[in-house]
Amino acid sequence: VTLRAALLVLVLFGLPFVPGAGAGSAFAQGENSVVGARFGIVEPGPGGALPAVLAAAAAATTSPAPAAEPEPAPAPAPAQGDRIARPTAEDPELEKRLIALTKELRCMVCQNESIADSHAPLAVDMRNEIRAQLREGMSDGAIIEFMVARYGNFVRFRPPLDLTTIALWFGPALLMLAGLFALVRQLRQRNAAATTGAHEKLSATDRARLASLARPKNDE
Amino acid sequence: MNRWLPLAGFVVLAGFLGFGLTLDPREVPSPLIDKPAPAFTLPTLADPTREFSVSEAQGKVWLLNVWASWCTPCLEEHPVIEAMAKRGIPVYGLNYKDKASAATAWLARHGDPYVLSVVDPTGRIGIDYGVYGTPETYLIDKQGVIRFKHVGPLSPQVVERTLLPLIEKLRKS
Repeated sequence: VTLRAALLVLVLFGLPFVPGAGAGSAFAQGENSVVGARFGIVEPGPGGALPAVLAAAAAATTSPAPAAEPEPAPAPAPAQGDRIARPTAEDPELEKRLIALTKELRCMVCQNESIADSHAPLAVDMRNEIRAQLREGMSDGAIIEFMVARYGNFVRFRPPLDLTTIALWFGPALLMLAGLFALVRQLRQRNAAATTGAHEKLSATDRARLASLARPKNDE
Repeated sequence: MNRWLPLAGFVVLAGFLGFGLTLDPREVPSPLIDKPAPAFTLPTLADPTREFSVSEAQGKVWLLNVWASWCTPCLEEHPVIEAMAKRGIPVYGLNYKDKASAATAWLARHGDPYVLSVVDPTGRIGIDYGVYGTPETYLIDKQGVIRFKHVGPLSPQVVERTLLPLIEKLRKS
């Protein structure tokens, strides 16, 4: 009974962390923050040479846009000031939405980083695009749709539930349940063998021998 | 039988992991395949006063090649693009996040296989096409629908085995 209670607790606590959301986003973002922190220490400003080198290393055959490249073109007026995406104080509400949205979207160059964390030039472009769209009053859902239409569901850290992602969403939970099932069965078999089964399996001669061994020696 | 269970599990896992090794994580299927090529009207590199829009290429089977002078794999791919242009396949360039002077110098030095190149200095049109690494190449049919996309330098193998047969097929239809 205690074993069963312990397993129940384990399942209840374990499950929220297991399904696809956890596998897809939490893990990947956990990695990101490490990378992000490293960027932060070594290279405080985005657009330096280091991110470009690292991004280039990540892309062996394709090359990302150069970070060192100064933006040559006159961008539309509102975007001009923030080619380098920094949280701006002018509209904290918008920045909050921007950060929440960009954490949901994958940087296609670094793949395991969100565009909130990445310093890749494409991530900077995407952040600026999203900021401009937020200013135009687009909803969060519409912005995600915009990115999915161009980069596919891969751009989302939490892909929608459909036939191709069903294993991603439920695979981990199923694997854990299968593991728990196997564990419980194993423990039960072992318990049964240890308590009831052992004595009955002995032959008559074995039992007689056991009895003689168990007899105190000073009886003789 | 139970004894073989762990081994069976290992073999299945190793099979999946082994298959995973043959896949390229950078090859992300584009949602734009079989969708109309996103429209744009952009100035050309050779003459900024002349503008080109996607609709001008209507009725042709053509390639849109995303390139830049800072992109080393583009240089690696360059002979392949030139070979295709020589075979009469119209290749249009999308000069991505580049400086016009650097791009013009690059073409002068290595040769210009493009019918024309349009300039996208901010990468905004690149986002519309889902560009995430140069070079990228899109095959667009007579109706202006994207039929094939390749990320990374085109190899002669991809051209011979995939691109040319597909172009042949699209030209007949």
